[in-house]
Amino acid sequence: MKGGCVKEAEADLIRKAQKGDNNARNELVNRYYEKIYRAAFRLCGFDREVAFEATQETFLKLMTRLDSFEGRCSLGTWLYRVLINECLQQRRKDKIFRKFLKAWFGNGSSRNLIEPSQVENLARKEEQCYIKKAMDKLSKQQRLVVTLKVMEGLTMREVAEILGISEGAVKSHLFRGIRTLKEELGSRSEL
Amino acid sequence: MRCPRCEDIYLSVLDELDAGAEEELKTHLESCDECKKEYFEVQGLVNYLRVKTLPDIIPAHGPQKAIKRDGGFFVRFFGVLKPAVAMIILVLLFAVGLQLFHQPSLSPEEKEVVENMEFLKDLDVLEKLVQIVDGTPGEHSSICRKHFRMAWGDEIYSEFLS
Repeated sequence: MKGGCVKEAEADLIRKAQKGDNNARNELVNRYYEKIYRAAFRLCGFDREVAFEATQETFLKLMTRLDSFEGRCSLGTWLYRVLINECLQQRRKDKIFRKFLKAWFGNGSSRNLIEPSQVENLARKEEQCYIKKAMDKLSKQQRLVVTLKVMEGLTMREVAEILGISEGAVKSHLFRGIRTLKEELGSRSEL
Repeated sequence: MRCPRCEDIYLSVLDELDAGAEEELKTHLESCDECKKEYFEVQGLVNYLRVKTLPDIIPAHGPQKAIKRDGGFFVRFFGVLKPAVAMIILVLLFAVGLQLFHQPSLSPEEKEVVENMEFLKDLDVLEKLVQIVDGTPGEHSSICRKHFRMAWGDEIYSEFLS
């Protein structure tokens, strides 16, 4: 690996994985799985199945392209980038799917993004529904920045690196996003 | 002291404000109720978004599935070849489609023959009639000629005689 952005311990693990060490591969997946799934869940409109699918695709890409990983950025940043592409793709597919359903079956979508299956989760699902509606009012960049910075708690620098934009642009998207969300969810977040 | 911009409050809530500005903001918040209210609202919103958007469960089988799905060398190898395989299939489908819908191209002479097929059939009938008339003696011949004139008209008959 050429770059110096990867911590030494992680770089060692990646090198081992690149040489075909299965334990190192397992360790990498286990290390990042929860983080990536959580981000996927937030980026994919709180849909468990879609988030799971996006996470699996992200790790499949990690396995297939690990040999070409040069360490110019951290593995976490690289995984977030892949995940964002996957989630945007899933979102596009979902939009087409919904349009198709609307065209054929009229008003509804038979596929609910959120399926409240357990009674104890209903309240949480309801809140997620409100958050999703509010998030849909943001632009794509604002949504990504708010998810990564506010929900995931990454630093400005990490968000800028993942999205390939300047820190100033991240701040600008963030402020606008927060203002919109405050208008939309202000009363709910005070509860 | 002038009220800091909302942006400083946002940055402070998100732990992105540098130490000096943070200290300045804290001092200001003690004396400004409006900014304090804004600060707590934004903090409430951020906490709300962080807590309420957490997935209820993390699939326990996920990492194992992700590792198994890797599938080793063959999956990786064919994963890389996917676009090439897709291209080959497309080219094959295109070739089969061409074969199915392709019309053989004809030379100008062949096209003329196809277009004048009816006329050629008529010529063939005429030739046979001529053979019959030529081989029919005396009065039979005049009967044949009469029928010929009736069937084909005087004009063709005169042409035929000439």
